[in-house]
Amino acid sequence: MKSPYGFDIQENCVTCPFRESREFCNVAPGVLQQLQGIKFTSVYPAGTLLYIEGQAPRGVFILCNGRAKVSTSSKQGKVIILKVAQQGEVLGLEATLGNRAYEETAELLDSCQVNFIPGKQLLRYLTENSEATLKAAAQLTNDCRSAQEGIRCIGLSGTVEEKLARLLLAWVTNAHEHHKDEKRFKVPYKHEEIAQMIGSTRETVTRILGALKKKKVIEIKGATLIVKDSDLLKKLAGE
Amino acid sequence: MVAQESTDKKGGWNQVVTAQEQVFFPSGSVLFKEGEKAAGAYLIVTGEVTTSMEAPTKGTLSLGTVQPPAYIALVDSLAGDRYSCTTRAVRDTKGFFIPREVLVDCMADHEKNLTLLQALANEVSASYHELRTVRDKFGGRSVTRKRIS
Repeated sequence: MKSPYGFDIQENCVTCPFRESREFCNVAPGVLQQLQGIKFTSVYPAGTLLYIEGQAPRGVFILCNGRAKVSTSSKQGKVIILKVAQQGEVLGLEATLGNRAYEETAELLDSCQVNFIPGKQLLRYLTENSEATLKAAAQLTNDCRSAQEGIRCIGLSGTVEEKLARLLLAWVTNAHEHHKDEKRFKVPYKHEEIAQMIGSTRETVTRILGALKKKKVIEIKGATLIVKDSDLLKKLAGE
Repeated sequence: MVAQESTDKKGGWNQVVTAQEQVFFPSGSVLFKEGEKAAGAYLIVTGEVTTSMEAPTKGTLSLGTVQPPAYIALVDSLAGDRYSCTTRAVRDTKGFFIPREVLVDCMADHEKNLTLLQALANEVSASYHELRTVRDKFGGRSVTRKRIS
């Protein structure tokens, strides 16, 4: 069944053609049948807030497709983007398991199909299925690593230029398009959002990206960023 | 990295932990170093430890002290990874060492897996707290969104 947002809605997890590429859903058929029985499917437009920081936990949200920006804020009100969650990831797991308020805000970057699982049913599902427990542990590990990467980026990099270079290098590692000695990838973030990832300001990010373009370390074509000189980028990142 | 725990009265997981090797670290000693292969996690029962991260050219970033009871390095151990920080005793510290194999076995045990997952969730929460602290410490201007607490 097509949604108004241009993608097919997968009502049944058991017959979903993408489940093997979605970590949390890639479980044995019997376990998947149980998951099918406890999830509620919804479709939301881009910009939807699935939950906000401080809200009481209701359950978890599985991103069937699309991406979500996961951010938190410090005591001084500084916003930190923890990560951009990809399709297949489970959001709100840490709060639901710990039965405490969500510690982050999840905002959809794309129109998405999202499967919601209420907290009580999730706990029973995890207790009864060790395969699902391992998947949940993998998601928590992923979340912890995102926070650790943020700590290293903000706390262990000296200058903002170094922090930005480290971030670009991390994106390069995950880049899918390599052309000769160039590395190119789409950057769907505004300068303000990049600033929130590295603990800086929008103006500084704009200035440094301009400087990197002048030095011919990077080239920007629309939303595509091309790394021209990865050796120099590594040097700027302090590696 | 670090999960602050209340006294766990659930029998299954508690029994597993207290059956493990007891460890003692005198003040100043290192429990494990960042980058070492994570052989297991620790439950700190008495004493106090600090955690830190290092960069070769930038020195050490202190992440704060840990008060017991608290788990350390659950995520690193379960993931079969390397320790993501260095942990050092600032006072004489006692606890239990839980080998990775025991953690993996408990994940498959219906009576223990949820408690272990909840301890992992606490470690994630602690990482978020450390990130917020570092963010406040290392500048950038405040943004308009007010923290809901």
